[in-house]
Amino acid sequence: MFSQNDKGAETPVQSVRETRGTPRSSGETSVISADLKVIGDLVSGGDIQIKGIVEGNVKSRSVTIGESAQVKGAVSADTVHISGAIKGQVEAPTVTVAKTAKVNGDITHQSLSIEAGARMEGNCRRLEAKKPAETTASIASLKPASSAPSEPSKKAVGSG
Amino acid sequence: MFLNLGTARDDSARQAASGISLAAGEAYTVINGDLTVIGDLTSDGHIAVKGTVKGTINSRSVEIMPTGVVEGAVVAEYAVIRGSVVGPVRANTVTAATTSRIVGSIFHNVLTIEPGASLEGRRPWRPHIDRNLDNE
Repeated sequence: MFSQNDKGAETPVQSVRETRGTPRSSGETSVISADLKVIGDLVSGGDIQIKGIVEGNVKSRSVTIGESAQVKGAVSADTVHISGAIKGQVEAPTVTVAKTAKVNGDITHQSLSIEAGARMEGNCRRLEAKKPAETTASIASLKPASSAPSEPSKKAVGSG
Repeated sequence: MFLNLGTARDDSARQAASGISLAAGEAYTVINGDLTVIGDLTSDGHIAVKGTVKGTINSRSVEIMPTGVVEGAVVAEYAVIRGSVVGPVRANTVTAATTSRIVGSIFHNVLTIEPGASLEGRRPWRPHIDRNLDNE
């Protein structure tokens, strides 16, 4: 995977794995350090690690909000790790809230994990995966299955 | 290199530090190639810009890398420009590297221009430049 120079070829699985500590070969992580204050929006196709203050919206593939970080604004990404303070909406398929986090705002997610000790104020809303064809198919397959079992089970009792 | 980048885990951050000496444990910010910041950056540490910043950068030291693009003012004590800046540069020590392109005035106390640098604008000397004062 390190021989691939094409950024577009990276799968989301790789990006998640790499945010968990594996060093990147091309160094795509942007770092907003502890004494940096950004007033404005951040837009990235890579990873952003925030340790400072951001007043504005953040849009990226992966966002890590460190313990010292303060974010005022909406965060939207594929993966969001929150260890610091955030005031604003979070929208991501995968959201991880650490025990040091202070979240003041709504979280829209598909997969959410909250560690004991995290301060949460706001709604957590699950966003269903965008697969409408599969969900209608599964509902159709459930209907006959749910009505059918009552009769065969009676027969089974009678015969046994 | 006697660098102690306490806050930066990224290897590229260490590489980016070449040319600017950092105090031990000094905060180090990297705006990478795929990041666009629309707004202002303020720091007392170091900022390396490889991506795009549309707004003012005010930091103790700033390095605009060859891929970096700044549309706005760069205000610092030490500024190394290797990329593109459209806007004024105000710093005590300014280095315009070979790959740099600066469209705007360069307010400086010490200015280094490497051969190949593309500079458009005035380059006024000042006895001292205070980055906390908006005096120009």
